[in-house]
Amino acid sequence: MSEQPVALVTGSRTGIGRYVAEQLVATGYQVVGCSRQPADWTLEGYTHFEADVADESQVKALLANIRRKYKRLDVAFNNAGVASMNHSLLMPVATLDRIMSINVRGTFLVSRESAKLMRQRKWGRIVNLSTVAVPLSLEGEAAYVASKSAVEGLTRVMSRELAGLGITVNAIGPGPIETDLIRSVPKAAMQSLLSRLPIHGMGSPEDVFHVLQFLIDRKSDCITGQVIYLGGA
Amino acid sequence: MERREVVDIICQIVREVPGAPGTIDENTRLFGSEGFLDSLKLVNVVLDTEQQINDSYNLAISLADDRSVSQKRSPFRSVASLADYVLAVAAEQPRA
Repeated sequence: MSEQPVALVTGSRTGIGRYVAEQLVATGYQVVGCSRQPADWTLEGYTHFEADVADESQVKALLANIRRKYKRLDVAFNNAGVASMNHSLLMPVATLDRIMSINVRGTFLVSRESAKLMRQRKWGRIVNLSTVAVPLSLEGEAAYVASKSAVEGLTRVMSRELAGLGITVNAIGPGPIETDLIRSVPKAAMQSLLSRLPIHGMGSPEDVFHVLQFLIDRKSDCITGQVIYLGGA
Repeated sequence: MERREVVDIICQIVREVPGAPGTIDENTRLFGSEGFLDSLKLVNVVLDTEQQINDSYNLAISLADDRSVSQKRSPFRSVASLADYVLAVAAEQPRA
């Protein structure tokens, strides 16, 4: 078994996922990351897999690899996600299906398979990614908000179901962060969103990592089922 | 995969559960009105069985089932029904 703690970060090719993966390596974790495309970066202590989190067999294979190689999993960060900004009356149902599949099905599958490995050491931390768009009921984000509301529901219910296995489940809900996910959002829409938050500025991957570190800390055993919003939503 | 081997694997796992009866065989009731497992212990027995089958036969089975907590139709109500369920699922799975 690996002496170092092991973390799984989904959607680690770019953005928040890449930043979190790099920081976890810097703080002593063996990190396994995944995305649908190959990563164009490497780092000692980081291993990348091509896997679609919405595909059950690929997620099972990913976790089987982690089990074989490290025999443990301490942290799973469900970062992989997609969004699409559109009025609900103009949204193709295929877009809804795609968003729900990656955001909800992916979070569920990675959490389920990760918890199976974590329970063997009776310890684990699952951290999901939500968004301030949920409490703000953000117009133009119906499918995204619906999917992240489902992620918050999974967070709360799984926190209860997994507590007896020594696993905590929490979520972080960032405000807008300069990543691929929001690059196509019009400036006016972004300003409107920011003006509805007590803290008007854009967030950063550092903000997310700061909360993640708190949630995965060994001293955070009694913090579970929580959603922590950034920016004050 | 022989049924006898699967029953032995399950019995071995069930014997380790705190509060298990003194004698465990394929007639032992696991879950439901006459079973001794609560839902958390059931989860552990099912996942340990999944893992043991994976390790012993290099077969990645998933024992998830919508009838898990059904009293009458659950495949987890006894050692025998769990063994039968393992064999049925294994027969449909590709080798890992």
